Amino acid sequence: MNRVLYYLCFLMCAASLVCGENPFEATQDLPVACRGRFCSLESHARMWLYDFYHKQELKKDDLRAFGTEDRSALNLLWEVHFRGHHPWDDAPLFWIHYAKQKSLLGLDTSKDRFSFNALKNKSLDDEQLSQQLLSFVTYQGALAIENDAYTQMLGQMEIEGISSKEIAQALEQRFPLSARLKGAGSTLLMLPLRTLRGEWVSLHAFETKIYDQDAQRLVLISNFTAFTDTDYLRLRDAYLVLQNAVLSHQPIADAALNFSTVYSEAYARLADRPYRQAEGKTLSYPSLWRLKAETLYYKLPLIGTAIVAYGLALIAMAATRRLNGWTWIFIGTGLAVHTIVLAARCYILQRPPVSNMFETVVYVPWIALMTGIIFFFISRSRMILAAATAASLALLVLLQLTQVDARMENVQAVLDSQYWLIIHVLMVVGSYGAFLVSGILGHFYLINACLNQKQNPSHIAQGILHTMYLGVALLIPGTILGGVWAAESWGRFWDWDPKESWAFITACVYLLVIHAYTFQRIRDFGLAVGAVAGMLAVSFTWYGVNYVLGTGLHSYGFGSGGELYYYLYLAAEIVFLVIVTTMSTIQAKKLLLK
Amino acid sequence: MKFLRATYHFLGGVYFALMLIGTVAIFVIAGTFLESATQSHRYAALFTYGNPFFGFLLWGFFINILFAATRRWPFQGKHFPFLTVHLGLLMILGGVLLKHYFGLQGTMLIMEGSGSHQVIEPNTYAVTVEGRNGNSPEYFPLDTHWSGAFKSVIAQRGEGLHLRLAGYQPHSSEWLASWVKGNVANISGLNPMPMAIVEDGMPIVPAGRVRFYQDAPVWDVYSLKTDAIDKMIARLYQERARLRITHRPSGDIWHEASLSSDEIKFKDGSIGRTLLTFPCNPESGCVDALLTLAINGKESVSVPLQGECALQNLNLATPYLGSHPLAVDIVNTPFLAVIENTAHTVFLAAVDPHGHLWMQPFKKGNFDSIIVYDDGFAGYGIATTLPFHVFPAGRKERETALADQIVGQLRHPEAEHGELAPPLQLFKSACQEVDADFPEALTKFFVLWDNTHSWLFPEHQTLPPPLDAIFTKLRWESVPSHDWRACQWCQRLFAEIGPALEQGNPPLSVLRDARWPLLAQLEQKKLEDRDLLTLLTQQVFSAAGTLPAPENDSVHDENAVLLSAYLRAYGIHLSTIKGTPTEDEMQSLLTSGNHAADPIALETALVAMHDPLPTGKKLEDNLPMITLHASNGQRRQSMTLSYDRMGTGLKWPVLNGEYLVRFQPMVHEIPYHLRLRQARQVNYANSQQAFSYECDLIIADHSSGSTIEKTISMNNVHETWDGYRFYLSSIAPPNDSAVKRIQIVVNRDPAKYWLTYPGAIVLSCGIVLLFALRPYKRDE
Repeated sequence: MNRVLYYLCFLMCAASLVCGENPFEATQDLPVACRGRFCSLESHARMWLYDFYHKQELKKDDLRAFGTEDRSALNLLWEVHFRGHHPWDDAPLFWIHYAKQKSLLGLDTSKDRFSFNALKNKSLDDEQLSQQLLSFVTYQGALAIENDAYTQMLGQMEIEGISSKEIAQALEQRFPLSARLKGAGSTLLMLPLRTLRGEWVSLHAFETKIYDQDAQRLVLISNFTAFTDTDYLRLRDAYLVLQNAVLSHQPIADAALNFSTVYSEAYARLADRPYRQAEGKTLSYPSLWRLKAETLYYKLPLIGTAIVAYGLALIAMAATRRLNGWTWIFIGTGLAVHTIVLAARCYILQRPPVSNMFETVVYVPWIALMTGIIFFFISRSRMILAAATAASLALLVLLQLTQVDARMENVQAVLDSQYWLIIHVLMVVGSYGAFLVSGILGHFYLINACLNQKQNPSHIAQGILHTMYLGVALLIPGTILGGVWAAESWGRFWDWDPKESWAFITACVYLLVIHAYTFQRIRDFGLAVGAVAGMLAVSFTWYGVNYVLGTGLHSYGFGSGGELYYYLYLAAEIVFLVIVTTMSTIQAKKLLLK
Repeated sequence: MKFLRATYHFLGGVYFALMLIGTVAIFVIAGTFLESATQSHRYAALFTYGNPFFGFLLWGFFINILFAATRRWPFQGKHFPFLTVHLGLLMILGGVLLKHYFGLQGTMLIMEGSGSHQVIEPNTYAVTVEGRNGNSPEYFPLDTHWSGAFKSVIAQRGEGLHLRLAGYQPHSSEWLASWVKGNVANISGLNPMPMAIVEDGMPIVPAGRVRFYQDAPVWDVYSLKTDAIDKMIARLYQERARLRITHRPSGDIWHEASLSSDEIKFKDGSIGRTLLTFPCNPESGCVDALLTLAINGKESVSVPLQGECALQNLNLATPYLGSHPLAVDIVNTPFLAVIENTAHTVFLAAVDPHGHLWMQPFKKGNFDSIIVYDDGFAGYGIATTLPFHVFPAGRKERETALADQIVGQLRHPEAEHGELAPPLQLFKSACQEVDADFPEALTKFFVLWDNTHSWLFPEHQTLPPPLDAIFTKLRWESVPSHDWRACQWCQRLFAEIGPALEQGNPPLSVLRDARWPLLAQLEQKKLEDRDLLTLLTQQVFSAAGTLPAPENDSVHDENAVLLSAYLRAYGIHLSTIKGTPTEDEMQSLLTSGNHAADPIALETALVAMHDPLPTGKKLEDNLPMITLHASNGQRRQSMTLSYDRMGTGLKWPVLNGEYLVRFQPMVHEIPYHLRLRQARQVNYANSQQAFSYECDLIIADHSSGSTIEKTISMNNVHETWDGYRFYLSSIAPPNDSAVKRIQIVVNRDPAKYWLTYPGAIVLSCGIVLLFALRPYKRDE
């Protein structure tokens, strides 16, 4: 057991030590503009690589093809930034999953990743892949700016003998400076424009040259950023040194460290400062701590650690008849890491972590486990704790297997109400956790009832009812308060939108079961069947409406993928219910005959 | 009594509750799948949530919950959670029902700078009628029978207006027909012209003739239906145009005949051939129509027939030498054609007597602007203007206009008093000596030089007397000596290589043959021919300091040659300083030297056309159509109207323009006037994703006369003291490309504060109580 503990500790610490060889590691906490946010460079690099490669770091097998010994996305991003896309045109960067698509394109169906050169002349129907190829081509690297249209036009006008004043005017008219800065590059948007607050441009903008009409030659652009003039010059020098080191294959680490230090000092004056105002709300640049937290969040294997801990907890529970200290250590470790995941997302995003599928799949098992722990202390039922741990483990494993998009995103304007987001969404999604425990307890009961007729596991039935009530107590008020939110924010209380409808249907299923059980129209067995059926309704409300129906006003949660597996799950549950009901009926008849 | 008691217990019993819950759940499940399959909420609602049976079920819930509670009478303490839950449910249900019957839910559309106090009630149907008396429009709802069908009488006012519904179609399409209505072309002032379908080989006969100006040529008018717009225009053009080719240096006409693709033999033995191209597409018609003259198989002159460079001759063979020696003109019998394709896009095409083609598409029902006659009581129309005038506007007139433009630019105070390039200053000084007008003289020289088809002005070319007098006064001694020497060396250089250049040989190969010592530098630059020759001239100027003086100094009759070399060194030639005016600017240049004349304006009335369509499953996309019988005791009229969802479209005249009518949703006037000052979408950084939608409103309260300014945004609404709430629903467009239009949802719920919201709280408390007070203990 001690070894297992060591392993856990090792997991927690190892991640912070990995990538020690990455020469660009010093830059991992610097801010960069990405998808409307300012995230840490480490997280941006990982998500950037994920978009193309479907992994957050390079596979060992691909290192040779990428011409590197480092798996880090951050390293690759910096290299691409400086060298452009050409050195990686033959590297297997683009992930294509579907075999049909691969065979249509004449690609090797046994592989999942293909190079730019292998794809560039194919006629692609996949819009996302086409966009990726187009964006890949925009990575022109350093020095691309040397022979741009601006320089060519200047050369032309110099030949024509046009005066320097007219040249400067004509160049500015044809190539406005703001457009040149924005078009300097699409990688590493790390330079905040002074004139447009919140708009950041690529580090390549440092290389921009403008025509100096007094000197009658091209000169490097002066400070255009929100940094101070002194910081700008220091930063530009540090950047050019780093660029030179990369392009001339010299040691990089010191230059990267220097750049990171200078950038951090310059950015410290902007950190936590507001950059955009709207009615009643403000957007601010992230603090240095938030950026560090984001880097750590992505580098530490938090979800994996929680999975291991929950798995060990289940094994410990199965191995002994009574809950021992190890069980609580594993559950406590898992819960702590699990809580860190949620808390980190809250801290980094400054909002409750329930606005996309990834976040809800993390939040629901947390609620499930909390439900299990609370009810364990009330009822002293091990089964509830086991069910809650199993639910948490199953969902987190599902999360890892399905690779749901884990990126941190801005909340949509329509959802941007902390008050209602907390009240409505946390309650409704929280209810799924309680229903999940109830459903798994239902499975336990039904399996137990079929396998062991003599012992009537009524304590499990009580657990089912407890958790079902908790779920209903969260679901119905949460849904009604959602109606109040809708009425307060958009002017209508209820509109039979599919998400609303399925919340209503789920409530109906549980009300049906509760009424039937309370008024003795069904017994414990029926209650367990109802809990499983209710869990199916919950799964459809949660996943089905967003991924199967894909219609309605709650469109911000829509997605696609995994429908087949979901149908298989539904079918398996139905088959399970039919089998246990049949077995139960047969056994009841046998008992009656006896 | 026993039956009543049994019914009462059944209605308040658990079986009825279970039946209701189960049935409603099945209904709602079906609704969600229907909505997903059809992507139509209204379609799903038609069979489920909006179905009367579903309403009965909801009333069943109300009764069940009520009776379930009353059955517990006399209440005991243990009933408290149960009663609380059921009371909360009753309150919510009651609140929703009260809002449905007595509340208000609608939308307002407001553009920046404008205001409104009218709320449109979605999914309602009404006919709005506006009289000439200036009173507010009246709204007549289309009432329904109990069966759901519309009642036939819409409005009946004694001896006044009587509106009756004669027909209803759930889905239709509506568009505005303009120049072509059905099978007839209409241009105001001309007789209606039947649309002809012309097949290959059949002659095209004009449908009418018109003289736009007195003493001007008569225009033929065609009305045609075809999808092959390019072929039709090409055919019309080719059948009516004559080609005239003039030799510029001599001014002789070398060729004049019908426009065809046959070979043309010129006086100098060269062979010419013309090619006419009309690139057309079904949306914008012909663009960039072009006539190309190829000489000895090489494309030499192109003449755009449309656009800002229309009719100007572009030298394709030797553009660096200015104009081509052959000038191409077209002499045409003018015509106007109304052409419609199968997509109902109408093209107006016109060709003036000089072969200038103008074409404008009018997409089906899509117009930039319309004319409103008598506030709409006399209908609507559209107009367009042909860019043609009564005075000549051919190639020659356009070249003259461009020269006049240069004169105008040289007369500009900045050019007149500013610093001139040395060669221009030299020429200006000479002009001042002979008291000649510098801008006119210079432009005249440029035009003369341009027509010579040579890099420098030819050595033995005769100058007209006024220019000759100026050139004799050129003071070369005022020019730096190395420039003067460079001009002379340039004269010698181009005297040697000029003939080869004029034959159209590529400058680089000419220089290679001439073994030009600085060729490598020129080849390295990869310049266009004109820039290359300019650089060559500049090379001579750079090297002039190291060159010996030429053997013979120039005499004054070579001054024009030397000045042209000096000008070339500075990149100055007619082709480099000639402006490229827009089509409107060219019109104004052409007009400036002529008597003002109004352009040709065409006008036609607009008519709404309707097509019934099969009903789609996405009911939100359906556009209902009604046929109305209107009468007022004296007149009767039937008319068809399509549904105007937002009530912002045209109102159509009826009964000889006595009334205006429109088929639209019901409009509810509220006691508040909302005026939109500004709307904006604030985005996240470096992104198009919205962070906030917000708008600044000025809200005037009609009852109190007070006005407040308020910024509302999503999740941040404004509520008045009497319960009207304004929600910002959408902003379009999301950027600053046009004036923004917002949609405001207006809501008034008379029951929410004392029924719906308290009900939600009571229900929530009841559920918590049920849980906290061990409700899972079975009811014994």
